Amino acid sequence: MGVKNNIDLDGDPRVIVGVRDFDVPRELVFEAWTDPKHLAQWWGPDGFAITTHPFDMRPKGIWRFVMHGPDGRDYENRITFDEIVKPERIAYRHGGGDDVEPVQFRTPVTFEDIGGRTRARHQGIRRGQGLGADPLSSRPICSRIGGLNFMCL
Amino acid sequence: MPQDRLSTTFAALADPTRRAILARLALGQTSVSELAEPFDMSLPAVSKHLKVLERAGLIARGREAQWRPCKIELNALKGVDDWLEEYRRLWEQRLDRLDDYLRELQAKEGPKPRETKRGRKK
Repeated sequence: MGVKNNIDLDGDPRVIVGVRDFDVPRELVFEAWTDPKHLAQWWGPDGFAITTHPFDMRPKGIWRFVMHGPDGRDYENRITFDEIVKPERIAYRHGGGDDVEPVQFRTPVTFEDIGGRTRARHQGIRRGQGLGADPLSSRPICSRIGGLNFMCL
Repeated sequence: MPQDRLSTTFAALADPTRRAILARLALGQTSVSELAEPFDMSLPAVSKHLKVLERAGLIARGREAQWRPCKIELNALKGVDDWLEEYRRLWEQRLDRLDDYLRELQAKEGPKPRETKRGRKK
């Protein structure tokens, strides 16, 4: 116990919430999450190498990088940082523009100090399609449907 | 499942009423009027939701002229399920790598290196 590590759908099925604890101070986690030279070391995915461009770490700063896939294909990516509050939270958008991969995600990440360790909460929010009245507060109806046991409708 | 189809599915799932309709249909097929009963809604309003669900491939309607039973289509849900699994795998691997990398960083930069214990904590 004491280590949190899970990723699941929230009440709104387009919102995925993940929690992970790290055994280092949050300043370090924040730094690793906001400096392209660090990001390139862990962003992945597995089997991918990354060529990253430098960027200004400030709101509206854009991080451009190329993921070199094991299939020999290059994947152009763009991440725009909307919010940077050192060392508590960041929020960024993935995608946008015809010249990059069709990823449409908004991702807020918070870093909580838990006695010298760090709890990172990240959300993946699918963009577009106009959100409903208040999706985040809508109560989930969890059902087990056709064996899809973590499908939260 | 192609991305645009998946987006349509997610958009359909975004509405709590539609999710409740699906939860009801998970119990078995039923008529529109029966479906409308627990909701404080007119039949046309419910029909509108059903059309969205049908377009997203989440439900199918029977062909009988009068009684057009609605039933849930598991394939579209399976698409969401597969997609979530893919997302989960990506992030779990990503955060595993971050975890390793942070330990390296701390070992290098940390002013007072802590006892490093590899693997999961008890």
